[in-house]
Amino acid sequence: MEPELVNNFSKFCEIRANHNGSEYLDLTHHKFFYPTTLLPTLGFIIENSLKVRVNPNVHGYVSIILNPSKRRKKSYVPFRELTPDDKSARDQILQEILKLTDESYGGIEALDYLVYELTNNIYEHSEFERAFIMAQKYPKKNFIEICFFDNGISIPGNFLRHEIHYENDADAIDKAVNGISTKDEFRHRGWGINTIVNIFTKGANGEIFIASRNGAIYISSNDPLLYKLGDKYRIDGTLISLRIPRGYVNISSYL
Amino acid sequence: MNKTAEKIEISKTLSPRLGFRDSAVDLFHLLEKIPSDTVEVDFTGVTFMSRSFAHEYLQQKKKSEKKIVELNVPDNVDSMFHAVLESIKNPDKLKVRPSRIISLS
Repeated sequence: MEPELVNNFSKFCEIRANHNGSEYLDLTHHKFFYPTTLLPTLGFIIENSLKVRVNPNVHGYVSIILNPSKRRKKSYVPFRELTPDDKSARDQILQEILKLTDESYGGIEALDYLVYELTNNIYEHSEFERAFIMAQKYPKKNFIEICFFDNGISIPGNFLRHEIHYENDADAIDKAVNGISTKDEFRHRGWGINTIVNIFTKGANGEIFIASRNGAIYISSNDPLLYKLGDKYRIDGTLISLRIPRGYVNISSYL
Repeated sequence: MNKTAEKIEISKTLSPRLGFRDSAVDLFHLLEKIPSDTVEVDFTGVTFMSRSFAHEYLQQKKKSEKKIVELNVPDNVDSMFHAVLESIKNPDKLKVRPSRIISLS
């Protein structure tokens, strides 16, 4: 039995594998999407210029996110896109995402830390064309799920470019989580993901799942799990997804 | 060069949330153009500073020939500067050691 974050990523992989090649992606069998499924599905839709059929009982925001023509000017939808060329818009976009989150899940400083450090990583390392962030609160389940997805060169691809040795893609993800950085000339770098793991798994008792190309890792307060992903589960780019339970973390204790 | 210190309010020049590494680079491009040997960077109104920004700020400050003086630094910003300086002295990071490798195919 895999953790739910991993299962939600697998759900996207099933959706992609079951697509019959037509211009429509049929999602009518799916009534519920977590961000970890929704964002890579959106990436797949955009990359293949697909139209989408959704279940009429699906939440309204899911339909809006999956249909680009509906997405504009829906400021209440907990989803934003980052663009590589418009750095001036980044701060506003992150502020909007933070307003849509709830600081009772981790605290505002922890959430600030998360969104800024991961966005820094996307801009510094990924060479992305499209990147999405979604944050959705589940009050009855007592957690918030925040997902980042970019279609860039991936963590293993970035390591390869900078001639950092790794055994396989899962090993590259493991190295990135443990703080190996492509820009670490003085061992000063590589703290971003490493401290996020510390803050949100040890401090907030949350979970984090990172998938990039053919590797993935799931980390919680229990033993971390490393995944080798076959082609059905390969992701072109990087997906980072967190579940954060209600509570407050003083991040200075985890830096 | 002017010996009189000039002051900039960083929350107004950049943002109350100092998040992006490249914003610290932009800040120092701006500071280098100020015709004064000493620049006071006033942190009044800053609510958050990321680790990436703090690291780049300290790197740029080290490279600058100007005297850069921080004023009104909030506690959380001070903690972040200290965390970065501490991690340079002691670069031991959290160890994540997966106990199992699972193949999904």
